[in-house]
Amino acid sequence: MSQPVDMKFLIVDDFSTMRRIVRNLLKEIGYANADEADDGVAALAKLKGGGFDFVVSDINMPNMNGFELLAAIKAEPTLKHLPVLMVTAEAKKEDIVAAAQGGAAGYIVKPFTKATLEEKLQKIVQRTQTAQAA
Amino acid sequence: MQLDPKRTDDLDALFESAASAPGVAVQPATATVIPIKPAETAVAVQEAFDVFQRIGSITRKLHDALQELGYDKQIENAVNSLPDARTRLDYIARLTGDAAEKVLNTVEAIQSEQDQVDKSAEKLRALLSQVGATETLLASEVNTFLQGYSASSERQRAHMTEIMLAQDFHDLTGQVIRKIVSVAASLEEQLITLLLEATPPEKRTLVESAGLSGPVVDAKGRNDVVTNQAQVDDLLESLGF
Repeated sequence: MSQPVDMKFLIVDDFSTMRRIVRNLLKEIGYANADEADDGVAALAKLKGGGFDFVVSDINMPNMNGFELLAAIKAEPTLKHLPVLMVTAEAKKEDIVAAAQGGAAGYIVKPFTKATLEEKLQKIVQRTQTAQAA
Repeated sequence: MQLDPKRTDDLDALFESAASAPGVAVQPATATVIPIKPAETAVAVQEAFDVFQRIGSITRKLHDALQELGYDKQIENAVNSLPDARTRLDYIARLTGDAAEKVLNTVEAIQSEQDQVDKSAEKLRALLSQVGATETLLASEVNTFLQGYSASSERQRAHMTEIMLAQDFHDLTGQVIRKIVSVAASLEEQLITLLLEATPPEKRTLVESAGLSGPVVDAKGRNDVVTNQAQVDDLLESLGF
């Protein structure tokens, strides 16, 4: 994984407004390197191209939803190390549990605040770096 | 079961406990297949058959009642109004999306200008400290201003972030609209089927729309509507107003 400030993010959401919001928030938090995809299929194609360190993904999307994307990432040896943070309006307990069991690194329910995103990112980055150091 | 999104502690606790559970297989979001014993299968088939028979009987009664009571016209009205309802919902989604994008564009423009002013302020602060003339009245005033500006700039950035985050309404309302549009499409399909069954072909007539139309949702291919203010003005002018 790159140094935190150089980390490259992939923001996956079918709503362009939400992608812009997350992208701007990441920039404010200190992560200016980000790309976007509007569904799981487009995201997977970009991820397979390489160069990404972190995925922030919605769940409810056409073509390939966030759960399917998560499963595809975790099934791909070259991608399975990538932390995936789910940012979604799905607030059902079963969805949260399914995301955690599927290997998501975190789960944020929309609407959310900058502080929530920052806290989750820090936690995941620290956890990933500790795991890599071990 | 729904969770209150504000109760992030609950969500966190649930997520962490699920993530740390050992040896848990990945659960697909689809339904689980439950094996059924042979004896249960026969009972289930009979029950399903009974249910289908009852649904068939209800449909028959409904079909007859509709014909007798002349409800076919009401169904026809409902069918005709659904595509319009869907188009109007699409219109709402498009307009709110455009509004959210405009706000985001403006916020980004303000942030960019703020970056420039912040840099200039920083440069001025550095120059002032190099000159070392802090004892003069002017230098003191400028320093006080720069301190106040710095605090104000930080507050403005926080406000901008709030404005930006508030645009997430487009995503949240958009998802709801999509679901309603999908339900309306399914309902329309079912009503059309019902209508075709309940109405003889010769009785099918076009339903005239009545009342005010409201905003034009889709002006494509229409020459009975205007699409901008200039066209309104031209029309009024041609009528001598």
